[in-house]
Amino acid sequence: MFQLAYYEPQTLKEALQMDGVKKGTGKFLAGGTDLLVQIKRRKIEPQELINLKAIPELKGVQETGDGGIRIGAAVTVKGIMESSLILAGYPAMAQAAKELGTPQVRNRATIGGNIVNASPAADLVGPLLVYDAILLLTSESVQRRVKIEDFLLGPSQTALGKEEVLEAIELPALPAGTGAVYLKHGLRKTHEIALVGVSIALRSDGQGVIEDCRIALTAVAPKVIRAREAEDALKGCHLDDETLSRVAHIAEANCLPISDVRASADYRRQMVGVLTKRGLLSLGGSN
Amino acid sequence: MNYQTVGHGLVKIDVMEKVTGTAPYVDDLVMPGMLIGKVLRSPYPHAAIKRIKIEKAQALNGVKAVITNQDTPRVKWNSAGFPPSQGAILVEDQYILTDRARFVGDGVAAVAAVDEKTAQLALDLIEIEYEKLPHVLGQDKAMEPEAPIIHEGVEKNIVGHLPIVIGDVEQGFKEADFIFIDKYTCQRVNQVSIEPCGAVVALYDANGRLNLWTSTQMPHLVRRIVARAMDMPVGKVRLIKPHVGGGFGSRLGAVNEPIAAMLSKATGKPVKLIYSREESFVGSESRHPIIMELKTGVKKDGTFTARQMTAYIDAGAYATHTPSFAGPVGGWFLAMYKSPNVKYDGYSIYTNTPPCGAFRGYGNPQVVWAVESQVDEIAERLGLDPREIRLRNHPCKGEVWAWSGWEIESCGLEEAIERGSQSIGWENRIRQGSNTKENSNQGQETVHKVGPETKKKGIGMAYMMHVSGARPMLHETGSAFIKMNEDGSVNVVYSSSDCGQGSSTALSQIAAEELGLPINMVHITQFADTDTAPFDIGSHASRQIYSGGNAVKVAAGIVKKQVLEHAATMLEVSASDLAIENGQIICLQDETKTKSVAEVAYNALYGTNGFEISGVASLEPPGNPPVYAAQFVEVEVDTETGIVKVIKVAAAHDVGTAINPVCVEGQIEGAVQQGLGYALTEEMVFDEMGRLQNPNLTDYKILTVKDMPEIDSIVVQAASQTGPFGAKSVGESGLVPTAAAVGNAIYDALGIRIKDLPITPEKVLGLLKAKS
Amino acid sequence: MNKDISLVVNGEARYINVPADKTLLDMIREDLNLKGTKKGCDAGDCGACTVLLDAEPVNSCLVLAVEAANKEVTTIEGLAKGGELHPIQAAFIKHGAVQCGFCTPGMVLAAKAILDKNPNPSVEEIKEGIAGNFCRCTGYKKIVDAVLASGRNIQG
Repeated sequence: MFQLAYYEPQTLKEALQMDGVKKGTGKFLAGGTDLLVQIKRRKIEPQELINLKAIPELKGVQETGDGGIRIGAAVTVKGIMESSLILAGYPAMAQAAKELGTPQVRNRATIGGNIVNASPAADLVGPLLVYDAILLLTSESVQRRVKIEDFLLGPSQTALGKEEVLEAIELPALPAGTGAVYLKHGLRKTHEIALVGVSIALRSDGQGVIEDCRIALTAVAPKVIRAREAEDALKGCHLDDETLSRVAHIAEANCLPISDVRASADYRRQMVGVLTKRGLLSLGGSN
Repeated sequence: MNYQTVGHGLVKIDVMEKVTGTAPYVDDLVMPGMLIGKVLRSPYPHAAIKRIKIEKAQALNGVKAVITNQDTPRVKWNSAGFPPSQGAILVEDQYILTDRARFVGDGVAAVAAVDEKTAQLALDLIEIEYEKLPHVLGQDKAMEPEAPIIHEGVEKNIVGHLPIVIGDVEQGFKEADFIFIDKYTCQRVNQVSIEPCGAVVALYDANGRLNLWTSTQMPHLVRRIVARAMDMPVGKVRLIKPHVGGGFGSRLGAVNEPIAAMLSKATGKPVKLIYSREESFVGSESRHPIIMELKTGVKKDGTFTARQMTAYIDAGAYATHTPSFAGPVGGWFLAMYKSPNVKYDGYSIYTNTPPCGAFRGYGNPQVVWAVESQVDEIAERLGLDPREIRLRNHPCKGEVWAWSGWEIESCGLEEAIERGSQSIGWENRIRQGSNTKENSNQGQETVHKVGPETKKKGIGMAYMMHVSGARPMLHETGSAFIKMNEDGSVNVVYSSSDCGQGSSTALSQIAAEELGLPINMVHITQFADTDTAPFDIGSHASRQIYSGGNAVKVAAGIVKKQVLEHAATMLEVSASDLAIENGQIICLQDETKTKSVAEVAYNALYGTNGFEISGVASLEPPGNPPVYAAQFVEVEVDTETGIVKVIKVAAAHDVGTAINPVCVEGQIEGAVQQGLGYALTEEMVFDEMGRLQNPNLTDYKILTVKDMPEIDSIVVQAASQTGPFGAKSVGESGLVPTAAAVGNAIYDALGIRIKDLPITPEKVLGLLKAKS
Repeated sequence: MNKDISLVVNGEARYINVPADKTLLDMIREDLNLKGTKKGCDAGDCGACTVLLDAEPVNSCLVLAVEAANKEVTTIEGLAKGGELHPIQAAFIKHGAVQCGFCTPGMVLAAKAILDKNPNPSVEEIKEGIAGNFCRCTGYKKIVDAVLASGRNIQG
């Protein structure tokens, strides 16, 4: 590493006024589990690190007035995993948190970091997509709300402005009877970067007819994506074998995987189908 | 046999230091004025260095030395750790820093600076003009006529060809009822000791002696190699080995000691050179990928008429171990099954990748992977129980073992197969194809609500034989010096190369047993120091207990004799009437005549004509008794994802007398983790430009605690005749048969046979698709 | 840029001047001269550098030293008290859970974090808790046995 300045602003305002933010030479530091590795490998060379952990607005998981929740961007992955509000209302998030990295990493890594890194393999992002998360982006002058789907642009690319910080994540209330799941596929049982992840939120009526469905696919496109055609194909159907394999195939067609050291594109595509089917089955069973 | 110390799972001698964090490893050493070294590596797989400019780096404040190929001694050397021997074929083809990069990561320059940051900045300031040369990856491609030549004069990049012929295989194939022809391949894997490989502090002192504190498995041989590379006399090099954070073969030779030595010589300061995890992947030697062509002739009754293997071994960019390594590869092959006709050809082939070298098992895991997969197929074709074909064809006690040419002293294979079978539930095994395995172990998780038809279980087994030392391929001199202190305790001075396996503990137990002393009266050197410890060729070939133990036992015997003779004088009895039990001299005839060993030692040292009771033994071991193992594996394969879950490994190992059974189990259990990784998840992946794609522990996948199956380590003790207290070996064998057993279990589950390691989910699905 | 920080290391208050880009691991090893915390990858993968930061296990290679200001750090050197081994250390010895020893300090601290929260963890909970610590020597079996047994010991 090299000469680097370090700041711990106590308020959001203070953070946003930092020179490093204004000049674009600084980096926000939250968990550091990705950032410090990037710095050590000399992929990035910031001049200032601005630690966001002390900022009150970025902390905590709270209920919002309208039945949803607000998660501070600096909440750790472990915090997500153990939050009673998240466990009760958004279990696929807790599940994804539990499958991210190792205990040591989960103690440090934050939800904000997981989103802003914009890795196509980010574990928390799939569930955020199917829960229709809204991101609260704050700059010195403006605060805006952006749907997570619109926020993610590509690998390491987001709609975050140069002078903006991701302050919080809002998850809207879910209609009663919505079930959700995150399935992660890797070679090992832990300590994996997802080869493929499938997140599903599903609501069916009393007769088992799917009323609403959202599917997100992880690590099979330049960013975590929604499988809209697969979702549409499900609506109005029962979860029978024919529907399952049809939807699984559509999901496979919905993705754009690459081949890399972790897996081939073909295998990833195939796993999208398998995981989609398995995810739907697990939710079908729970209704 | 009942022993006082041998055979007991005593607490290891180094654990107090290790659990409290006080055990020093190389990176923990700090010396006054110490500099930090760093190596600049080639970004190209094959390139000549046209020009190299170091002035800017030299000018940087805090930089004390910048060295390149021009500074290296003009001797070519070989980094592999071999004693000069008939079986050691040493092709000397490297310089300490190269003037022609032959793989991505080849060291081209090095710096020493006041701290790591400065050293890194200095590397950035070195300007190199490369001339890119065509490169070649893969040993099959490197042998093609149009392939670029990696070392001048080495045609088709074949740096070695080692043939073995016994009988006449062509005749044997004529006599066969069936002939099986297969090609098996395996990947490159890394040892991944948790202490990264490549850790040294060098001090070229004012007396012109080179002192090295290094994490090594072979103190004396690395001293020799460094002396050669530095072009200096062996006696001017002193090597000290502190604790070693895992070896597994990676430290079987010089790693970065010569670079640190040059930097220290250039600066006159101690220089620490510690490789990062990434560097340890490319800057040290990994397991050889081998393409193995097998042809086996077999009678209907399952006996072999002819066995043939051609092995194409990827040496990487420098010869190091490989031309010699081709010998044991042939040895494992020809010696594991009896056959009147055997033919082996081992080709060592240069490629533009990091050099390959020693990794636990030294070629045997590769060979056993191929042979035991094929034998499984042969058994099925002949309708034989897979266990039966092994029992019919393995060399047994009293027969000559082709690896060594010596008679086999003991064989525990039958017992191993029997007990392993029971542990895994072999009798309940349902042959492949039936696929309705509700049978064996309960408690399987249903991960998701998928139909049970997506999970298939299978059981497989594989067998292996391995060495207890390096003879007769290598001269295997080992030595121990034991001296008795005035309190009756002894110092065992041994050139320890314990890397955590517990060999120092077991050697202490051997000394204690032989001397009749309690274990707490034996103090063994934990740090080898070549200035004071007698010569030993190190920790490899699973030789520490059989061979090192032999030296320790002989030295202890000399000490014991002196103790008894001196006690006899003191007690005025005949030495032949005396014995030592638990630190006490007892007279078999007259129990009133007794002395403590302490009294005898004190009297020897301070009595009339004082002398220190001591003994030294320096010799080659009497033989090389083979060990046997049978491993049984149960798997559950997800037929939709291709993921293979290993449910259980029953690893039955004949180790001879287990000097310390807890350490023996630890060796087996740890090896199984490496064996399963070899089978399923571990692989060094290079891109087309020869760049390693996964030099980190996220994408190079060693197994976590959650991936490990139940392991039943079954210790079979068919005592050898020549080993200390009947010991043979255990160090390497635990991972040798694992991959083949996994492959055979997958075949049992699915009816598909994968012939290239690792068995990835994609390969499983590919073959399943092809089958249906 | 250097910063003055104060923190508590193994129960003792320490005041250190560190560069902002120094990791907690390097500060522990170089400035505090506590060599028991090991560097196995420097990338948060292997767990050998695990320490407890305010009682939570972290990879000290992925924490900046300045981030530890005003916090409590426990390293392997802080476990044995008055010459008495911590029960986890004793169990590692008794069960043969130590081989090369390079993963041991981190492993012991990861185990301590498990047992501090739940003195009687299940095998599954133990595996979950040490899943971020690689061992290449033992196959983990005797390590799990040791943690299981020390759980019982701590409970009395």
